[in-house]
Amino acid sequence: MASNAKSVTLNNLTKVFIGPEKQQVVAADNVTLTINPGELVTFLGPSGCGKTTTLRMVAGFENPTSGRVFIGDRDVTSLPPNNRDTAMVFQSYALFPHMTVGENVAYGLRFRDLAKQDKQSRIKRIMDLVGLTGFESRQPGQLSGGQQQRVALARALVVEPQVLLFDEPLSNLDAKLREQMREEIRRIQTSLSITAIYVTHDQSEAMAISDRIVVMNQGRIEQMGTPSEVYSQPSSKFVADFIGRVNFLPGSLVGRAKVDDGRNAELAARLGPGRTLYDIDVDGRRLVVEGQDDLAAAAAVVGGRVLVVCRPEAATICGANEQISPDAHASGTVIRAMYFGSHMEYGITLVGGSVFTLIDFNPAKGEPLRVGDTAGLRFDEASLHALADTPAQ
Amino acid sequence: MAIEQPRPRTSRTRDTIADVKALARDPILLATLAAIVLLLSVFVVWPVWKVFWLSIAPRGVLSLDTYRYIFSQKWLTRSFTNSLRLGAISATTSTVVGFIFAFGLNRADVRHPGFIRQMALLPIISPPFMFCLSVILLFGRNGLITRGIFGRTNFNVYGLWSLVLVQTLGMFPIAYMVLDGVLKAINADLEDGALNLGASRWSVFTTITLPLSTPGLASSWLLVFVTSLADFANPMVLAGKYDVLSVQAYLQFTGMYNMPRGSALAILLLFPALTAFLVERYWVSRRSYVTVTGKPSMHTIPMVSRGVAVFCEVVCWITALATIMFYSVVIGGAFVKLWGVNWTPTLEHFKYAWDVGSNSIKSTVLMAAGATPITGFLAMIIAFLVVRKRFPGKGLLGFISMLGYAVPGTVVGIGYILAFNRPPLLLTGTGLIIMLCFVFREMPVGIEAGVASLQQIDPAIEEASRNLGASSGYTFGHITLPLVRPALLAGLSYSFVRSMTAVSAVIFLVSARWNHLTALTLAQTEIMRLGAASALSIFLIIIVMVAFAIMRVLVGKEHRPAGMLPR
Repeated sequence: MASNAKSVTLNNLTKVFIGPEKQQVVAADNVTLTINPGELVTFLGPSGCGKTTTLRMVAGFENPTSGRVFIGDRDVTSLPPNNRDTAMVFQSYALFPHMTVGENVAYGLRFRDLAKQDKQSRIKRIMDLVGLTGFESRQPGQLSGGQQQRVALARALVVEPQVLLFDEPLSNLDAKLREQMREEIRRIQTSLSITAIYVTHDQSEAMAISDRIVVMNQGRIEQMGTPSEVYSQPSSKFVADFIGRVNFLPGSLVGRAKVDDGRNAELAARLGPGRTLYDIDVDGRRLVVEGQDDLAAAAAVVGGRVLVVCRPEAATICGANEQISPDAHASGTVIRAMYFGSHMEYGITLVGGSVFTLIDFNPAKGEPLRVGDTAGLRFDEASLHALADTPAQ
Repeated sequence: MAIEQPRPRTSRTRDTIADVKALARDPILLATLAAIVLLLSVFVVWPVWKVFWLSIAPRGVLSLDTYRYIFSQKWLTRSFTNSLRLGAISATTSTVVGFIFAFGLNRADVRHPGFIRQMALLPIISPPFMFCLSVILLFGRNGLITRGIFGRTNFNVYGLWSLVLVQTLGMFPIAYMVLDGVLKAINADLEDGALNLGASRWSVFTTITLPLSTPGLASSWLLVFVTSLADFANPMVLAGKYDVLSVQAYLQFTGMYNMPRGSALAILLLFPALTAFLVERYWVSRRSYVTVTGKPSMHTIPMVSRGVAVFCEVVCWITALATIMFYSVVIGGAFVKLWGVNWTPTLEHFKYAWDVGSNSIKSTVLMAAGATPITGFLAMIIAFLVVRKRFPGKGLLGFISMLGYAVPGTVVGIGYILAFNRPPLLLTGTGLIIMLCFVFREMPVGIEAGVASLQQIDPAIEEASRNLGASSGYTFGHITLPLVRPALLAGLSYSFVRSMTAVSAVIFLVSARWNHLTALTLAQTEIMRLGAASALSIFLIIIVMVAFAIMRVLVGKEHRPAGMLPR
């Protein structure tokens, strides 16, 4: 199967719908990307961001207004869906209700030129793989949601498509089954090393399952990168906000940081290509934060204003009330303290007035803070990230 | 691989072009669409146009002489106002009775709801003339009630109020079906909520239930109005001196051979019918408050007072008993020598009816049974195109294919005579012309059924089939059709019945060789052979019942609802 994996390339893919009030809706706006053979890429974004439309253009259910779709080297833009050799797992599963489980799984093989024994051995192997052996003669309506999901997956896998497409496949399952199924999908996809595109609005699902994530918003690609890149180096306020929880600390850009002292040199050594260390002033304190090479230029447009992206776990408490440590980066009043067992979550109103969310993963260590306490905060500079404070779209 | 492309600023035209391109890529779809457009143009649009053209150009050149004459003659203008008056009265009474049935069954817990519901639907499949025959047998010169009980022989049963009676009994089921759907769709939580906020049950009815039903009441009124306008069978027998357009157009066209005048009268009939239909479809039905929510909710406490419940019950039972009585009278009439005069039981009417009617019965069943599958197949294809496909002119296609609802049979009958009387489409006098008439008259019923069931099927099921490698044709045959089969067969059995009981268009198209049972029944009624007419009606009822029984076997067990969209 592995040899069948193909790349998928989207070139300037655009889709414009005419909305119900005759207005134009740009569902996908110049989407350009390449997915490598065997890779699982997630399209992630809020509803209406164009992720499903883009997926459907790959499958051939939507005709792009402009742009091209390639599977491998083959331009499939004008091919009907049945000639594209993709296989899709639908959100509603779309099992054929008038066929048995076995007939559902075998359906796609009707259109493939294979000997009967080959078909049967393929079906058997796939039914084993998804754990449905013995269910062949059941009707889809007799199965649980999770089992229907497996049938849908088996039906897509059995045709050994060049590209596997997932359209929010787990959104109809309950939380526990969802986690179990996503692990299973990932296991099967890697073991067959099949190219896959996975659409979801659930960021934790995307983080757990993907080689790379494409974050989309209003029809455009906001960022494309590995899960850790989009989490720790979001390219926009939207991405930072959409993936995980986040605090934005407004600041002003002072300039490039000097890397002569030991600590900055250590930070600088960990930077990836295209990234630079900056000195940033937040409420009178100087922080050293990484950002893109062109941050200075982007920030200059808005008078040097930047946002420092600080995840809730990237800050620690350093002393409370009278015992706040002098090397604290900020301080504020605790307005919320919630205990979650594995961690403690605080809401702290900073001097500027904004509420900072902080997660302390060692609640058992030391005395927890109480509402009303004043707390000192220290940011882990290696985990911070700076963005130009451009107005959100 | 990067292609330089200007960022597209698309417009509506660009979108249409994209649709056309997509169409060009799917030759089967394109060919199907072309065939459908051709068929609809020839068999729906062209005949209506011929009627219109003859009415405005009686001698081949444009002239409004025909209309000028009609509007100068009181006896002709009267048939226009008479039709409208009859339509308005019957629409009102039918809507009131239909609402009481729907309300009684959904809110007032009338007793034996299954029986009452059956009685509310029975008139739909009843043969035409059925209720007319009963009214004559009960209230005519030899009427069981007028002469038998009151001893009067001079009672004039013919006229407006008899028509209102038979039309109300025959057409209130239309209102009932519309309003039953409306009342079922009103979320019970709304009414419970109003009660909870302190409203009395009467206030709940006037402030919640009735306002939410208003669009449904308007729909039902307009639909009955259109049906009453188009009704030919009842006024033909019962109108007496109360002239209406459908009958007058028929008499002028076939009796007086004044084809332009008949056509103009038909167009005058078409105009209000089409207007009412368009108002219903494009205005009233868009104002529907009906919201479809996930959970059906049930009332657990009675929503009406005792008095209202009794009132609903009484109206339902009187109507149901009237229907039963009318049926019994017709059955009785077929078994006695001469109604009202000689009550000796006899089978001679059946013998006579079989002698004159066996050929008509065979040809009627043949034509209806031949037309039904064609109707179903065409209707399903059109429903599929309208629900699932994008193509330019889709709105127009949907509109034209639904026209059969709005165009009165009289217009269609005249149109078919005018359109298909010379080669290459020389069809007058053949069975084929009647079958084609059935196909295109009954198609809307099949389309409605197809559209409703297709909308319940998740489009992803068809997409999954395409995605796995099936062509669009294969998907239609192996996925779509099997899934809509139950709804389709139900729609088809109904369209078969309508073909069996059709009168208004068929009356123009029958010939000695290809006669229709209803035309024969009309002829027998006109010569006052009421026993034979009753016997023929019974034949018709039996055929219809057998058809339903066969259809029930064919539908078989339905599929489990997996894959259906939640409603």
